[in-house]
Amino acid sequence: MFPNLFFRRRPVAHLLSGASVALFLGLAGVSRAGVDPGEYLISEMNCAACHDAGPVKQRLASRPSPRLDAAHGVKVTPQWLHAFLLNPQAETPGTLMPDMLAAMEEPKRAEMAEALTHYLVSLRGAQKATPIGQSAAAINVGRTLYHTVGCVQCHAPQELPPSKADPKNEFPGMARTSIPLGDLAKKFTVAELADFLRDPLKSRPGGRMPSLKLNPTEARAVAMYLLRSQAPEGEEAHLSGLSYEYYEEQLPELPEFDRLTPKTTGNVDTFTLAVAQRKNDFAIRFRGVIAIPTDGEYQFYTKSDDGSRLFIDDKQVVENGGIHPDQERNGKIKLTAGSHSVRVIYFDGGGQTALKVSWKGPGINKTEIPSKVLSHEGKAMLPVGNLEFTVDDTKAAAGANYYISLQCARCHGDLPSKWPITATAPVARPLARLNGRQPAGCLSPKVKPGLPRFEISDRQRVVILGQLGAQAALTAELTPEQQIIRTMTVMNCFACHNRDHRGGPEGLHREYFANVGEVDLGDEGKMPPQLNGVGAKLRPEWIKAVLTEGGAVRPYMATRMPQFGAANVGQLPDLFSKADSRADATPDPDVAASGVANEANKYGRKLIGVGGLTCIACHMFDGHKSLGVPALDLATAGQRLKFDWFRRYLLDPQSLRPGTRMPAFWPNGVATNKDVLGGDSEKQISAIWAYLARKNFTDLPTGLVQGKMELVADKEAIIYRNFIEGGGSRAIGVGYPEKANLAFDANDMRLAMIWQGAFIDAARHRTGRGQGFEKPLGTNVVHEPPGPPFAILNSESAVWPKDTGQAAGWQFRGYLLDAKRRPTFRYSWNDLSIEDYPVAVSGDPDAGFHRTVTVHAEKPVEHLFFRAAVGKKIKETDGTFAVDETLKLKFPGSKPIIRDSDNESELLVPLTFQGGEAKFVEEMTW
Amino acid sequence: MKFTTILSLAALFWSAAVFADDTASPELKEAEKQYYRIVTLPIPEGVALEAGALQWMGNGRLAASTRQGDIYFIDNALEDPPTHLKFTQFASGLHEVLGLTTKDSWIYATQRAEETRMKDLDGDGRADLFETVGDPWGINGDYHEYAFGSKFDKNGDLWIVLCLTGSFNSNSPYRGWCFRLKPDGSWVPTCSGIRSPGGIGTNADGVMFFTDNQGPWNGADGLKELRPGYFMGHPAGLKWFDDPATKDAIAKAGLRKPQEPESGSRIYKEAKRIPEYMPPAIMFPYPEMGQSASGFIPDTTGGKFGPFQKQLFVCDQSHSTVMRVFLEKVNDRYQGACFPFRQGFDSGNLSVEWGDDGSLFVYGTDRGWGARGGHPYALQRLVWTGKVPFEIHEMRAKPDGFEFTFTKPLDPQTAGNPASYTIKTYTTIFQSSYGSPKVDETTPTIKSVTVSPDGMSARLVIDGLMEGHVHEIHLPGVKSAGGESILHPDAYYTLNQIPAS
Repeated sequence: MFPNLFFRRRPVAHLLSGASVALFLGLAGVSRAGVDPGEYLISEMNCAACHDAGPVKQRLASRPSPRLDAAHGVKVTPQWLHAFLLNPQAETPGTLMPDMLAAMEEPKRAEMAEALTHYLVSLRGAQKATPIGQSAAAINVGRTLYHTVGCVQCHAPQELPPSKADPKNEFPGMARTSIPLGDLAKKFTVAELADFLRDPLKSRPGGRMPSLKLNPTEARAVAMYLLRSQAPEGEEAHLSGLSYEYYEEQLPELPEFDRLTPKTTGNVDTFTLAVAQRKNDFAIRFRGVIAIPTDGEYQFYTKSDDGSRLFIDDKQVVENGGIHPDQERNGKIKLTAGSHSVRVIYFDGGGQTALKVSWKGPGINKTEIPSKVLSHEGKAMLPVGNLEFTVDDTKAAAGANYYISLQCARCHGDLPSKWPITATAPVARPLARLNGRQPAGCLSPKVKPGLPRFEISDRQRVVILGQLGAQAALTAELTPEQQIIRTMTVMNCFACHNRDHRGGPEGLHREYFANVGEVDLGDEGKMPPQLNGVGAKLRPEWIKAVLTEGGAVRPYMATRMPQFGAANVGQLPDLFSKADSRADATPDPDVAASGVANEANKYGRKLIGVGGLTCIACHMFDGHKSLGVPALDLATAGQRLKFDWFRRYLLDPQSLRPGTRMPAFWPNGVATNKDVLGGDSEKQISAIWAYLARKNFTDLPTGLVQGKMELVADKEAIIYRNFIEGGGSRAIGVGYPEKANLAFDANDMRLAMIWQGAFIDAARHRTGRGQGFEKPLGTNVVHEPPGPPFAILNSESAVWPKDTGQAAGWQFRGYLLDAKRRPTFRYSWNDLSIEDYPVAVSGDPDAGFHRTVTVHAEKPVEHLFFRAAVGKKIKETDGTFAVDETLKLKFPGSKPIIRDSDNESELLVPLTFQGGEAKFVEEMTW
Repeated sequence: MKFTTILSLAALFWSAAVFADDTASPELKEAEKQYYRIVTLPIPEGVALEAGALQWMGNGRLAASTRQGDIYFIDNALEDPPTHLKFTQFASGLHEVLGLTTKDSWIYATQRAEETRMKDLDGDGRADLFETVGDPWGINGDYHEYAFGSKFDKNGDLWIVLCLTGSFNSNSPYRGWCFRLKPDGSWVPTCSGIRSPGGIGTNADGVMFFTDNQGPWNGADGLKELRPGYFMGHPAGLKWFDDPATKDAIAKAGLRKPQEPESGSRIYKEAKRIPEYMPPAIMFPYPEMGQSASGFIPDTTGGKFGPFQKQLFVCDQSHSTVMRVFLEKVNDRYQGACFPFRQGFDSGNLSVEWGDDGSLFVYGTDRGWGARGGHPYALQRLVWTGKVPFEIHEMRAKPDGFEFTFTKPLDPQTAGNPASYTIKTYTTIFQSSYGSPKVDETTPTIKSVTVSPDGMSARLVIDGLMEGHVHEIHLPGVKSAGGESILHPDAYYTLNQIPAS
């Protein structure tokens, strides 16, 4: 077993492992790279913590060790802590923690490990681990996060990449070249590991384990994934609170949850919107068990904005769906005492949000359902080997003394002790006096009691000894580039980033970089940027923001820039600037200085917009979507980039980012756009810069924010075939001059939707790539029933069929326009041909439709019905059928029937054939 | 190119050597004008002519379908200069029409979801009958699910190629497939493996091809033959071989499900392993030749458009260019070379169509995909001035090298000197992730060049031909007998196979 730095992938592994060391030394003596292997080992192993490094302190600066105090330390389980102290390498292969008890004889060794465990646990008080429910959905989310946000660039992936391809069979070997995770299932509870993942730098200030900017839900999901073995297969337990799934969708109504993929899942005390991660456009499903205290009738309430429903034992009790202001609805149900399943679904479609779930029952006044009656079934997760642990003061007191005598504080710092300290810490020899030719002391393969034993190879010993004998060389100061390489090596930046042909993702590791969603940006959309000349590209303020303040401009990239802590990488912005500065760089123009700049930025705005170079065809701008792919937000350029780089990049994108999809708009330095600023390349680029350098964009580039492109039916009907929300992917929208509109669904062959007023806004589909479904622009949208419009029912109780579309024999045939461009839709169902001719008629106050439907068949068809409506309540008054008090239908000449079916009412029109034809008229007002 | 070489303004602007791999130079554009001039057709206010397809209707009337779903008739389109153009709307409200043709007094339009034919029954100049000719494929609302339609081919078949759902998936029936509409009205699943077509059409012999765009399983844009039964390389659509809704129709068409290609492999290796796989006849090096290959047309003008008869003119949407392609058949597979031809069009070129006078209509839009031209849409005409440029005419693969022919007699001195040529080869990774860098780069040696006695061709003997590689050859030193340099001295030959003889 080797210290974990050996497991790191190229270039560290290359520098330090096995045979490469000799090769490396042979090449360069004191390394060209700026990181000599011996120097690297001495500093990562923290030798200078005990051995005063004197004049070479600078170069051998120690790696900060994990903090153990109550405020910062990770609350690992006592069983793991004990095992780790007894044999660090066995618990966490590759750990840099030396075995402090290696040379102790039994039973002293066991006594010391136990005493130290009691002491360290006493610092924070023993806690009993409470089981938490395993969530399969959270594990799935965690699995994706673990494999995409960047974890697997240092730690071994646990699954094949999304492509599932491993042509060179690298996967099985990846564990050997990655930093081992150790026995996490024994070490952590889900909550503790989640806490650690959220802020690893709190307990491990060295930053070798960086923060990946996980939010609490994400950290919990990753923790649950990594600890998934804690829940034994098949064992379910009763857990407090509810389980929930949280979805981010733009919804007009409560969705079919089973068709959606949750963004996150988890457990929560009660029905609360606190689990939502954004203000609007989300949905939640809560599930669990409610304990009913006594037999009787219970009333349940949901008060919500927007829609909600409540189910008990899978029966809907409260209907409060749709978009509406905060409103309360209720329902009653008789229940027996005991456990019943409860489910509440909720969605928000914009605006205010609210959810309150209450009950009333025998002996219970109306009140919010208390969390104590809510529970859910789940697989319980507990650390492996979970034990009740009580701190023994005598043992802890002894442990406090061992902590001193073993010099733990040299790395882990002084810790409080409430017991008398009698031990003293010996003083190690200064580094300058350690220049023997043979390994001795803690370098000796057989250490003496009280000394640490490091798991290192003979070759590593030789390298360290060699370095100790050449300490004079370490007094020199490293160049900026050497310091960069050293930092990028120890922090393993090279796993993801290439700089000057060093490092960068390789092999199967490349396959784990992913887009967020499906983004048409190629490798630029998922691979971390290379860092050649990054100091000449980016402003130091921005590099600092990216390294230590969470700055990020690539929302399409799944992999995140880790945060290593200012203490560890805070020097990089300055170093990059020094190393990459160009003597001939054009300085940043002072865009605020003169009126010329003010004038210039108008031209810049023009060039960026539609009609200029249309940069916004691909680039997002100031938070607005681009017209095409979501390439990097251009409005950030002024804060991030140096003008010199920007200018060189625009003139020749490929030279600075080989393979980029950014087109050259000034090929050979000559402007393709001759209309702006006389086609002067330098003036154009300066003008764009002048515009981008501003912080506030009150005047956005032309064409970025699309106005409405309302289609208006003036004297004739107007047709719009496109993706229409409520009308399907093959909708045929028709706007009529009378201001009634419809959408016909040519997939399902049905009139899908009618509405009044304005027809539709075509801007969505006529700008950019035309992504998504457009809503009706007008008002009073009525959705017609889904499913086939016609069916043959052989009995009154026969259920209306659900199957539709081509698979069920339906086929769209086209349409014929009349003199006013109004379509007669033609479609067929097996041997039946149907002509469907809706005509808008003016009305007071609103227009309606007269629809004439003719069915042709060679042979008369028996028991053929048209389903005109489905609703909660359909009522007939003098031949007018009111559907849910909105839609009013008349069928002159036909005798429709109302029938109940599956808790709803259906309005069916029977068809009778005469001479190969059956016909009916439907008059629609609403 | 190393960025360190670009140190000064002077280098940026005038050092041609530094930019040897970028063909878009202003001098070149000026030179191209002498041989092929661009006529821009004015488009009236209120007509968003994002043309997706053109079709001649007879009597000098041109029909144009648009991405916004309109069909316009354009009269007097061949007028030069164009001052009396007349646009009339024939149909509107259709769904992104990317195919337009005519038969038996019907106009056929390829919409996203169906093939439609229409006619004007009442004689008011506008279509009133719209018939669904067929809709065997599905759409789900993803913008990427485009459908491109061909003209009727010599057998009377109409071909349709269907984009995937996005770049990686086939989420609606037959996404990533090609269909044929037979004269009897039946629809035949014809090819699988399509990613993102940019255009469809035939070569001069009537064989159907399409362009597929750089992305997953396409390291560069490519031109591929739609040979019935063959697999075009992207495995996402192979699922329809097994789907209950589609498998019977596919089996009936006699198609066999190919083995899936192996990600990370090379095209020529997979072509040997998978008999149904049709490698691209041409790879358009990215980004030297372009970044979005789209529509194309063979030169069937009989010389009215200059000396490149039977060759293909292929658009690039992103670069606003028209490229030139020479194809030959080696071991029953097409392969060949592409050359730069003409740059400087106004918008993103989607496709091309001949005028009766042998001029080339070039049309397109940059909506959603930016283009160098910068205009939201354009309709232009490329007219041969009658002056023959000194160009590479054809480029053929030989067992031990290449044979170039030229449009004018060569200067034997320069053309016979291997130092007048540079050569390198490379290929792309055939992989499931997006695009590919150029890999496996080699530099073969040109051992000798022999100029034919008539001076019209040069035979290069090359040491180190690479099977499956693009052979990029520049001819900067080659002069014509009259002392001219080659207008576009750049050739990119996709050597899928090295001919045996």
